[in-house]
Amino acid sequence: MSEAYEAYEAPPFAVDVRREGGVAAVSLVGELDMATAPELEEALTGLEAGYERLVVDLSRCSFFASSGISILLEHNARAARDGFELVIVKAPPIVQRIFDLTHLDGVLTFRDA
Amino acid sequence: MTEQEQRDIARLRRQIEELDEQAQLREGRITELFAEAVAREAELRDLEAVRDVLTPRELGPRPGLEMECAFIPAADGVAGDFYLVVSGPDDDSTVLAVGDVAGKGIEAARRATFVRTSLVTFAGFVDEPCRLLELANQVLVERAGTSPVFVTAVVAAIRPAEGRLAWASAGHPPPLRLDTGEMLNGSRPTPPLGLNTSLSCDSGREELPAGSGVLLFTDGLTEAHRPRHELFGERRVIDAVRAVAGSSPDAVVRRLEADVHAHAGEALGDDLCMVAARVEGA
Repeated sequence: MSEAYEAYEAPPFAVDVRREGGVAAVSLVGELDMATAPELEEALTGLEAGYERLVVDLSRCSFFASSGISILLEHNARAARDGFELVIVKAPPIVQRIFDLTHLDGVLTFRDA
Repeated sequence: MTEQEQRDIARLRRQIEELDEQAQLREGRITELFAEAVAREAELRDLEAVRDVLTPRELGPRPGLEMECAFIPAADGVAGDFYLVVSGPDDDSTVLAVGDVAGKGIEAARRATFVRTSLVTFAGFVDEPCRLLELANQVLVERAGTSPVFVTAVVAAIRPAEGRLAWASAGHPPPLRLDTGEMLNGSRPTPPLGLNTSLSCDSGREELPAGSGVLLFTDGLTEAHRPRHELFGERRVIDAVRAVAGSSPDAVVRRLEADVHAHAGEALGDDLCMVAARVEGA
């Protein structure tokens, strides 16, 4: 990226959705910020019902904004209501730090990458 | 008229009808887009009005304190950071707070405004930081319900004449000492506001003699970065503050602004908000 180019450039971001039997896996690659957060929301809301476990993999996430936490909390609440399990695969340490700062490790279920 | 001419005319008619249909569709789409633009503009106006409340341009003076604040909005919309500096229950008490809401749009802005307004209101009666966060949480949950659209906040109460500081955070980065660049600890970690009906919290306490002070900030500072590049990070915040240790709050805030822009560019992906306060004298 040119140093002279100062307009805000959307970060690279992709959501990969997989379904195997009772497990739905949503993997994030790149930067989830306010601009890309709706893509995570769409991926999670768009899953066909019937899974017992939802795995959200943040291990290839290079940035995770608080809007993303808000989305995870929403689906965590839905997990309790609809009776499935939401497991989050930890992000790299520098990204995972936001979960430590917000003290939500007791609310969300994490698994090491 | 020859048969050929009749066929040509029929074809031309069909083409005209098709074009007409397309034009109507397009017109319909333009009307839709226009309605969307009007709605978006109205929402933006609301959000801008909210922003003036969340981040007023000037801080009023407070006895015994020098202060400076900065607010740099996100490049692509209203994100909902807020700050406040108000009088506590007595003359020697000043309450400062900085906060952030998860997500953007009108619901996020409304929840941030709720929290800011309740902190401002209660600070006139209570300057115990944890108690203020508990009250703000209670009002938010009672009025707007629990929601994943949470609000993080850090509250500091300074008594310049006594040289004392108390602080507490709800899911928010802790304050940092202006003299050493050190991040404070000693307050019990507490989740953000608006997620649960109750909040249990303990305030941290520090001595804050003349000449020393604190910086409150939102994660827009530590997380500022160019896409695909490293975050500004705590280390650079601490280094910047140390580089100007002993300077006025104004100098610290200007230095951080300059360093953040040098690192992340002019346009930032998230709101950035800072308030620095130093006890006068010494």
